[in-house]
Amino acid sequence: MNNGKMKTKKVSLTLLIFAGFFLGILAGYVFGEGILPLAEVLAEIFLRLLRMAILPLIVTSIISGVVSVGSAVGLGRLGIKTFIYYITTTLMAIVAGQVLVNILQPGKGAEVGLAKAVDHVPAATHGVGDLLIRIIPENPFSAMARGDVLPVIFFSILFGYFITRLRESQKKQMGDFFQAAFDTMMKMTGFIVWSAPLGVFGIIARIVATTGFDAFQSLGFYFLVVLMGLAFHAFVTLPVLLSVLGKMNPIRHYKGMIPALLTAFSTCSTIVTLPLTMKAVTEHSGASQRVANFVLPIGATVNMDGTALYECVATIFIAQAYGIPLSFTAQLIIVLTALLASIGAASVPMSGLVMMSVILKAVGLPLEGVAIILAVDRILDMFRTTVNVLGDSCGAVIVSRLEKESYKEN
Amino acid sequence: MKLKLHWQIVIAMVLGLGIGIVFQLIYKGQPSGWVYDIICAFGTIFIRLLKMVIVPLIFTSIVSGVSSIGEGRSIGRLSLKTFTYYIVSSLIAILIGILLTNLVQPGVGADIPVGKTFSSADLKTPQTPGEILINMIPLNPVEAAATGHMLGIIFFSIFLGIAVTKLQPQSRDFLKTIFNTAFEAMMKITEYVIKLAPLGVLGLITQTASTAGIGLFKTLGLYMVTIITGFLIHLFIVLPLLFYFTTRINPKYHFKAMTSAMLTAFSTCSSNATLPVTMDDVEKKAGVSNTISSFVLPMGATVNMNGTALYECAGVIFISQVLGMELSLAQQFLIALTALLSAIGAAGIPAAGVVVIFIVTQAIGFKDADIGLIIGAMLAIDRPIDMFRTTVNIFSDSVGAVIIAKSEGETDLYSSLK
Repeated sequence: MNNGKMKTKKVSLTLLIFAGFFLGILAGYVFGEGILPLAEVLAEIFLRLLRMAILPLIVTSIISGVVSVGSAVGLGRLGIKTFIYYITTTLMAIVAGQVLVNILQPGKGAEVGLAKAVDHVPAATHGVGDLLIRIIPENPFSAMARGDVLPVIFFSILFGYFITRLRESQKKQMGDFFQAAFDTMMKMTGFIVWSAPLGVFGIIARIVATTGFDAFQSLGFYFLVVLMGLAFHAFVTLPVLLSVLGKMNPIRHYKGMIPALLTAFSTCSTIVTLPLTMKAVTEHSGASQRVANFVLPIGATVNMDGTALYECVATIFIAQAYGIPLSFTAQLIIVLTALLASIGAASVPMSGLVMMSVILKAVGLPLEGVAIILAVDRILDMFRTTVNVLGDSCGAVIVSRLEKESYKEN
Repeated sequence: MKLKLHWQIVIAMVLGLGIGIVFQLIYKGQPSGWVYDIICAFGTIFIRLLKMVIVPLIFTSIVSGVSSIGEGRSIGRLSLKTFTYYIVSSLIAILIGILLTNLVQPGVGADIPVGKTFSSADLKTPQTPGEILINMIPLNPVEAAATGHMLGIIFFSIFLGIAVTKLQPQSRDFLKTIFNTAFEAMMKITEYVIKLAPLGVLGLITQTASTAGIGLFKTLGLYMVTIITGFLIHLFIVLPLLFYFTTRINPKYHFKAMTSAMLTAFSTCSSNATLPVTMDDVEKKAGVSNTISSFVLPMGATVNMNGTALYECAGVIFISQVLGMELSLAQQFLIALTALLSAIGAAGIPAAGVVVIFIVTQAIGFKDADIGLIIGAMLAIDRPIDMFRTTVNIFSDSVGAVIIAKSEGETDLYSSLK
């Protein structure tokens, strides 16, 4: 998937986005409000393109994701255990991030959004029970037309699940169709992210020209908070799970994983790292080959502890930077969307950018916020991919143990 | 059925005109009663059926058309040709309007009866061409489909079609088959709807003929004649010439192919509602490939408005003549330019013609309060003019489709008619 060509492409796009970011700061500073006509147009085109792609992307990615995972879960106990492990750890990661960002408040005082009329934060007025009820769309088409992300996700998950319940031939046909539709949307998104450098330039120039540098001063703090969350997950949550459920000394497991983790860190790709993870888990940590073969490939596409944590922190950071208070319900929406959206997010190009827009849209926060955090996205990507791989590997060990297929001590 | 469809429609028109005149005579322009209601219902049902088809038809036809763009063709070149054609043909139409109104001078000495005053407060402001381009990108394609935001649907469909061509061959062919099949199904529905055209036209024409404000025809007669002459010149002289010189095909084949669409446009007064019929005629009778027609026609239905542009210019100059104002050459040039841009910018606004006339008068700085009155009077007789205007609009779109198809090397044009 991520062959050499893709990698160079990814890097050069990142570079261009960086260039857009810094030129944007420069232009906003030098020309002040004079840059606004150009900046507005660039920002508007980019954001519109992004928003256009969001809905079909969510629908197709979740349906095709659920179809492939659902077929695996259908395989029995092993599938169900894997699935539960993934959901639980992802949720733990998200909550860790959420607690940290709410306590430390890295975005407070940035006040980017004072001058700007912001999309209302829709569900903020409803209670939790109401939110849960509203996840069920009365009419999936009108939910899509209104752009209600959670109901659309809910419907897509159900739809995908029941595709896996079809007869084999029908299942294949529907699965192929949604896979092809998802591939199409990925190609489209692939085009759109190439407009990101210009869009980021426009958004950043606009922010600097209208509100100055406040937004960027808190960026370092935000970076630290994400790292702290990831560290907590990697060095507290996962080790505890490993020793309690996996009956395994975490230090030994981590030692064996070092080559895989370093590869993940430098390539930012779970899938490229897969062979190394596989080797470490079966040879050093004594997971059975059968379990590893099953758990790891699914984990590489579905289980993304680090990414989910990052998305949650980033969203709340953006809300803080715009000075928008988030109710408990809104926070719950963030958790749910981050969790559910990660099911299909695996191979989405520039997923840091695209999936962030999905969550921002779900909560009703301004999409422009994405541009601010893009500056540190690439570096954080290295850390969160490492945590993703670590989470997968712990999953293999724990599920293996639960299946009573673990090691002969070596 | 032995009788060709367009003859059926013509008969329905004559019949509708007759019935309409009877109602006009009995009820003096304000018809009522259940017989009338039922006849008019035919028209409404027909238009609703056409509109029902539009969104899925455009979506499937553009995606399947664009995704089968083969070797040697590029979206960029197609768009360039399409927009060049839109602009050139609109400019010619505008020139005809200006020349004719200046020659005939229908407004000089015209006595405008006091009618409803047109108030600028009811106007939706059209967008600048730049805004149109940005707003073409839909925020949410499903919402665009639900609200009938044409340009948004067109943009998303073209983009989706391009993305499909970039897939691996297996998935690509799989999706192409699906979209082609869906498109074929929509075309089948369209064909059935078109069979109802005679009934629909009967209802629409009856309604028009029985409610037209005959009283105004006397005073505004010369103005109407001038504008309709302009439309006829564009329709029967300029466009056929343009057609002949670019394609070297006898234009009579094109008129023959487009009869149903032109008659439908004439009775519905809506380029969008006529779109399914236009596509059917251009593809089945003129033999243009779906790739070209799905690219040129839906966009043309919203953006390319030759008739509207002509009408704008003539209308504004008419107003200035009524007010006794002399327009300088520079002002006339400004009118032409504003009319060109605003005919594009009015995309999707109902009753666009009058809205844009108002904008153009503002652009050249008319401040007189009488304008509202004159426009009000023009509005009262707008419907018959709109019939010709829409016909010109869709005919020009279809000519564009054939010219571009020919220039892209398509060969089996009009093979079913020759």
